[in-house]
Parts: sequence; C-alpha cells; structure tokens
Amino acid sequence: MPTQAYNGTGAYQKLWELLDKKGFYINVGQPPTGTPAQENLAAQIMDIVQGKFGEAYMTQPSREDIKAMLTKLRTKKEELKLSGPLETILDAGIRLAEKEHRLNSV
Amino acid sequence: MKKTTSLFIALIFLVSVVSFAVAEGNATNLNAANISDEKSLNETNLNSSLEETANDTEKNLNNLENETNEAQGIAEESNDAADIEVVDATPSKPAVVAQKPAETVNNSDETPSVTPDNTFMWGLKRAVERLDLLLTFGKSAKAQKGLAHARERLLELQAMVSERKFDAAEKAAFAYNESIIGVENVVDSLGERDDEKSADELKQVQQQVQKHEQELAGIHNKIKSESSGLNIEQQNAMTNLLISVISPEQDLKVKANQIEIKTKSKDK
Repeated sequence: MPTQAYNGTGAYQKLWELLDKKGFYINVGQPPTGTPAQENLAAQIMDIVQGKFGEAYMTQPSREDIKAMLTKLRTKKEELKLSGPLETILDAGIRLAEKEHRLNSV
Repeated sequence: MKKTTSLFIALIFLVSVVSFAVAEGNATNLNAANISDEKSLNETNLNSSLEETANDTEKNLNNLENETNEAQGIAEESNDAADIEVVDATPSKPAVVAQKPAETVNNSDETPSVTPDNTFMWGLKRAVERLDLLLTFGKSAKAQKGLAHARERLLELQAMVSERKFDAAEKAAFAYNESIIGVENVVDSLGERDDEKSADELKQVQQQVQKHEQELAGIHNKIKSESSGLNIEQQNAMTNLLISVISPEQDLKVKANQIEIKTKSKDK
C-alpha cells in the first residue's frame, strides 16, 4: 500500500484542495475532519493520485496493482461507512486516481 | 441445404456492406476534406444511420457559414449552452458538405447522431467505429481517427449532461477515455520506433491533439456553465464526470519531447 503523506488530520481538506487546484470544485462547504481511520483512507488516495507508492514499490507499480489498491480502499470505505462530504471527496479522489493512472482500460 | 448456405452467404454479404457503408459515413464526417463527391452521393442512398451523419455534416456547413462569429471564442460560446441549433437535413446535401474541412468547424452547436441513452444504437455506432479503426492503417491515421471518436464521445457527454442523464454521460466519459488511451498507446508505439519518420508522425498527432484540447476545453466550459440550476448533488455528479475525462495533451507533449531528444542524439 502507498505511504501516507498526510497521516493524521486534514487529509480530506488536502484532497479537496488538490481537486480544486486541478480545476474540480467539489461543493461540500468546508470539508470536515474524519476519524483517524477515515483520514488515513483519504491520505492513501492522495498518495496514489500523486504517484507516491512507498517503499514496497521500487519502481512504478503496474496499472493492475494500482487498480487493486483502489479496490481495497473502496472496500475499506464501505467498512468505515463513509457518508456525506467525506464520501463525496473520497469518491472524487478515487476518480482522479483512476484517471491519472489510466485505469479505464484495465 | 445449398439454398440455406447461399442465403446465409448473401446475408453476411449484406451485413458487411451495410457495416462498411456506415463506417464510410462516419469517415465522411471525420475526414470530410478527403472524400470525393461520388462517395458522398452514394452515401445519401444508404440507411437512416447515414442520414444522421448527413445531418451532422449539414450542421457543420451551417456552422462554417457562421465562421466569422467564431472569433468570439470558446469562452463566450460556453455561455450559450442551452442554444443548440437544430437544422433540417436534406439527403442530397452531404455531397457538397463533405468537402468542407472538419477541423475549421465550430463544434459547440453540434449534436451527436446517437447518444448513450439509446443503448443498442450507441453500441452499434461504437462497434462500427471500432471496425473503422481496425480498417485504418498507419499510426498517425489511427491516432487521428481515435481523436475523432473521442470528440464524438465528448459531444455525447455534453448532450447527456444537458439532458441531465448522468448515467449515460458516464458511459460517454468512459468510452471517451478508452479512445484517448488508444491514442496514447499509438503515441507510445511511435516512441518505441524512435526514428525520424515516427517523430514526424508524432508531430502530426500532436497538432491534432492540440485541436482536440481546445475542443475539450470548450466542452468543459460548456458543461460547467450548465451547472446553474442544479442541486449540489447534481453539481458534484457533474464535477465527477469532468474529473474522469482524460486530458491527453500534457502526456503527449512529454512523450513527443522524449522522442525528439532521442532522435537528435541518434543523428549525432
């Protein structure tokens, strides 16, 4: 799994800002802070978007690997019962990750 | 038995001819400048799918007539999202229209012939496009065709957003990405060849991509301008669609530069 650059609080805020910076405004007002586990999820998505895959990957992981990571994170999202703005931001983040890594045709 | 066999062969032949004809119809729409009058006249006698293509090209002509207004730019056009011009098509016109270069056309008022909410027809349309791509030879020609298909997907995406059919719009976005990934793969294979001819072909593709990017930006703006009147949930659904859409230029620029550097160092 990827490293967690924004481990702790504020990961949703960072992800929301990253989306906005790329021209995609998600209308959720000011993103709230999640529980540590929820924040961790957003941090991992953000790392995948930015191509930070941690020490487990010496080289760029394959698209299949990245897709598998995102599938795991989706499952985790269901387990944590994410809803409201947190879910909206996370879903947008996953979409961005899918696009950045061209997972459409995998 | 013989009768059945010959009937079967005749049926296959008929299907092939119709498929080819439809593919040709699409090619007319995309590479209008290269197609002769004779071909276009033949197309007017085909089925209703071709008439839809004719409808598109008819609109292209009308758009060309308004070319002087185009200078106002994509940004201004994006404010007129709701004003989609509907033009009657007469089957005899495409022969003339087909000679107009597609690249100079103002696309903002174009509507796609079939949209993803019509699952069967849209599937058929895409199958024909795939066949068309399969029968296209040459890397840059393939890339060009891929971009043309991608452009059609964008028009579909825009049409579906206008009708608030987000599920269908999602299908269009997904299919758009497939086309763009196809183009990127072509560019990759050009890069692998690493010679001067490939570099030239790549430059051609890049020019096409730049045009495509302009259209993409226009459609982005247009879709964004449609968000007024939507509730927050719908606005976010629309943003999600835009997030999904691949913008190919950045990636291709990097690849083109890499190939250029390789070619130069090889020459030395």
